[in-house]
Amino acid sequence: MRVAVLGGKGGVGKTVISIALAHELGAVLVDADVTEPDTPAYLDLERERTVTEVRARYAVRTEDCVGCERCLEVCPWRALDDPVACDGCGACATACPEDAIELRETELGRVVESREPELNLRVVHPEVEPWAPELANIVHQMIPEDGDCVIDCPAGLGCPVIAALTSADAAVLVTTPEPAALHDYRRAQALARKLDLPTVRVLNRADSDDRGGFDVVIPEDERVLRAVLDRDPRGLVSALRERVRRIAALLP
Amino acid sequence: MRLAVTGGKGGVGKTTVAAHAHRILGWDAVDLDVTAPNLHLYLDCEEVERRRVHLLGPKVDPDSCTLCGECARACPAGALIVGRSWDFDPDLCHGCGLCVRVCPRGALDYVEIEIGEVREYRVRDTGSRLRSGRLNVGDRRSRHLVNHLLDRLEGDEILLDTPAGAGKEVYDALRAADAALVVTQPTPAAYRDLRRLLRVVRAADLPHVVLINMADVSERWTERIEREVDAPTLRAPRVDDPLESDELRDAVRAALDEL
Ligand code: SF4
Ligand code: SF4
Repeated sequence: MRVAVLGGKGGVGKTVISIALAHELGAVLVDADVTEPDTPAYLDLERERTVTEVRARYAVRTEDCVGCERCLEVCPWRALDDPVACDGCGACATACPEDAIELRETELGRVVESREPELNLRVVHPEVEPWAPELANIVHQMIPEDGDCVIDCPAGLGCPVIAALTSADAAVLVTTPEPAALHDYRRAQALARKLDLPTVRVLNRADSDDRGGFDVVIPEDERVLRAVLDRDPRGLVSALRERVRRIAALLP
Repeated sequence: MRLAVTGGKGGVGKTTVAAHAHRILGWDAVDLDVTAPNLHLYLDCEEVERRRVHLLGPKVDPDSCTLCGECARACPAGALIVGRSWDFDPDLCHGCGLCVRVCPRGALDYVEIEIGEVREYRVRDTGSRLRSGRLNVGDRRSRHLVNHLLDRLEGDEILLDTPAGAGKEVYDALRAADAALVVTQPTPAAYRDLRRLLRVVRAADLPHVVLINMADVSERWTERIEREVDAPTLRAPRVDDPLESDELRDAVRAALDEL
């Protein structure tokens, strides 16, 4: 089974819950936050193999350019000659009447598979430049073909999150009690519904145990923060164990 | 000055800091976090207007179309397929307009494809405006909506609340700004994200300061950030009610002075 963990708002506890859930299920942890992959900040990872290299193209104007700027008219980002902004879509090259656009290949890094020895957790995570284009593609390449995995989604509900959800069999939706988190969580719920995914609804860092509308309530717990600061994965997993078992039991 | 407030890791306090900055400066604000827009929830404001945002995609006049397939070959998004009929998937279209330009028969015209909306609020205590982008749930074109907002910035005193992360949308927002206030926290993950975000800030080449929010949570990580980051850093304390806290407000003011 493939489980996506998402929340809309960042900082609600997706990554710690994903780590504990992957450990509980004996599943591979996939870090789908391509621009800001955090799992290496929580876990000491030993790199084992490269899953895939990540390359991209970016557009530059060559000396044949006559300055007509048709390229800028079709580029949604006015990204000519800027590899950080360019998507590599090639629209500019098609539009250029002088054949003066060159699409240059560039290496952006790789997706790797690592092992965390203390929990014996396998982790697939990106090591790519934050400006990598086509994030959805990278996410698809990170998800193992077979076997169970837990996909830790980035903040927001952008295309990498949609890519993770379209590959998943179930979603764990995480929020905290703050209004902004609940607002984004409602949008995450709508997205899961749209994609017809079964969900487990988790209220994290709850101030009280009796919040309705959630399947699992995780109370505020200083042990989690301490385990994060001390980079202590065992402490992290043990602080969350009981509630994460409930999440696991509710998955289809 | 156009000032971007950005944060890398979600939940470090970016939007809270943006709300304080807005109340200190009184400038119009733009919420660019279009898949999870919530600056309006941090400000006392009322909605005054709501507008749909569209891209322009193609529509065909079947009487003029000869099914030559030029448009489909030009489309960089794979949104057009031409076989025995002309087929267009609006969800995939990027609105570049190439198809309409290349059609040798002039058989294509523009049609609007909705991707989201912009809500405009009036903030009560400052009297200024907040414009908030809101992508339709499930739409993949967040960067288009971000750039829709960036292309329509008015005036020189604007506050930009960027999306989370460090990707191309964040870079677009930074490119449109003159300075950046970068918010972080003293945790291993936030610091890791900060270092990546600062590479994007440097690519956009603009002056910036780093505000370490909740600095007292970990003296060790705070000192490490101060020692290793190649930018001015300031501390903000952990407080009970961040939005109403005078201490946090003073820390944001100090960061703005530094800029
Ligand atoms: S390849 Fe696409 S994104 Fe890059 S500059 Fe050309 S039109 Fe713009
Ligand atoms: S506007 Fe651009 S992306 Fe959309 S269908 Fe036409 S060529 Fe394709």
